[in-house]
Amino acid sequence: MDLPLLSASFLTFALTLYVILDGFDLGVGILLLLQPAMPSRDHMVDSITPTWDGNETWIIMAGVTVLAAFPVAYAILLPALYLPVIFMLLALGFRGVSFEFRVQTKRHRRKCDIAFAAGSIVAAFMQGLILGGLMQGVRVQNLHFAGSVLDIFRPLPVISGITLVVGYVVLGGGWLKLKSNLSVQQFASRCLRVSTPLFAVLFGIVCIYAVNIQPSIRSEWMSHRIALPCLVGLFAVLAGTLTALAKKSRPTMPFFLGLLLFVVGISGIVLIVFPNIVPFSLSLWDAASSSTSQKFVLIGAALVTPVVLVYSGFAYWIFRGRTPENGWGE
Amino acid sequence: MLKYQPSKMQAAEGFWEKNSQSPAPYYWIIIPDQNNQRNRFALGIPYLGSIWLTHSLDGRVEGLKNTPRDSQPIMGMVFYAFRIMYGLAIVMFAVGVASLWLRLRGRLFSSRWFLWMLVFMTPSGIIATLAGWYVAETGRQPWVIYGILRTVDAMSPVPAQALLSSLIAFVCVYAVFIIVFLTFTFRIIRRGPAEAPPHAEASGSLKNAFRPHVLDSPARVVKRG
Repeated sequence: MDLPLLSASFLTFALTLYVILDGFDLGVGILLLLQPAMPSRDHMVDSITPTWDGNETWIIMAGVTVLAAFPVAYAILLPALYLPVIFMLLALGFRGVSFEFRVQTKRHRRKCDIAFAAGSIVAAFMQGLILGGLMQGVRVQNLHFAGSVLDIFRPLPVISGITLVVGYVVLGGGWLKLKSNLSVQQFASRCLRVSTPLFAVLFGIVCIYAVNIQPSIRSEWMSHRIALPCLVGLFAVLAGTLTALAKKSRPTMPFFLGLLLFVVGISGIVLIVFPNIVPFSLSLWDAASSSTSQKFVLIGAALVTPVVLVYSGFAYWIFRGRTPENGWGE
Repeated sequence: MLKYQPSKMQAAEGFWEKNSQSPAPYYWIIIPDQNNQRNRFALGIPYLGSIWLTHSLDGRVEGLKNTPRDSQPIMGMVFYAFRIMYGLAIVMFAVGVASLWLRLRGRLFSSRWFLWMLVFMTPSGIIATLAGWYVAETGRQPWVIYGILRTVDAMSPVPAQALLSSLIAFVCVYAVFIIVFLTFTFRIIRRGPAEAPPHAEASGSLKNAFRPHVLDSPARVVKRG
């Protein structure tokens, strides 16, 4: 059996879950900045309270999988992505701290919300930088990172960072449509109407720009002549539907359309990157650890993943439906 | 540790010679001189080293000279980190036993000296944990994987400036976090346990400890005392 391929599939699975799950709570965090009314902000925070930190489990799963199953890739990517990874972690720390303290104070709650929103924006932006940094390609020599840590601040990663911030706003808006009271839903609709088309346009710019600066991406477009244009078309249709339905549709629609948008986007990225793990210089198989390590990772993943899925699912089920006006209680 | 990372243990116990004197003391204060491979000063409890480390009255303890010089950790760091961890563990244990004794005598909530001591013991757990990490990390030097990979050979290609800037960012951000944390903690403490549940009188019985809803209210008893 092709163990590295299996590990890479698990990695993709964990990363996808991370992006869509933490994506919506980062999005809600970003939207706090646009919501002037404190009761509405309280309500928005209440809507993510039960699940937001559980969502971050998946990035740890993904990180551990890269470390254990693709150590060579880990050794190359971590130096290459050092600055955005560190700043993402610090930003997530800001989120955690301000989240816990905002309920303790009325006077400083506004400051806590600003810190929470700032942490969310920076974390989302850094994740976008990482994605863009991978898309522009990582320079490798003798299995070592040979670029500069500042390569990540070139235009493509920066645009991709902005794109992901807006993308998470789309997910967050969808989540608020699904989970909140009427006035916050109206606020979410307005946000969705602006952010969805903006996300689609930015995503298009990133695609075109990436094709122009990275020959490997251009050749991937040549070799996936049908699949990639179909995905782009699908993305555009979904974004259009979401924009049009943001106001009228049933509250479940925007969130699931947002999820589909991300799934389509991630599929495209997987098509482009595969079979590399360090784009565009190192393949899965060249970066893979021994088959013993691979088995260890996969057995661990097979044991742990169902447990995490069940307890996460249980949490979402317990806290299903609209968020109560006074929060979920003690 | 004695089996898998002997040099860490050798440094932690503060002996240099391949075999210590017999019976070996248990050192609490040393001034190590790494260059000359000896202690300039050493103060310890006689016999205790042999009893503790070799489980006999006259056993000899291995010193750091058993490890080649270029593979030795810096003794002072390992020794004192270990003493801080171990010393705090003993103090914490003693405080725990004392609290149990006071509880059985029904005086736990009214002994102000003890309650104040607990206040000052608050950071002991985290300090002991950190000291333990220092033992683990400094005691393993100069290896990053003991006996296999040296720390100098494990350096990442990330330039020093980038590491420095991230370190500064960490220090700044965590300084903000600790200030916020302490501010809120003190506020919560000052507010006090206003909504303590209805309580039974402080008694000598441990039974209440297992029934939290009738637990003696600390706030009330302290005020009276």
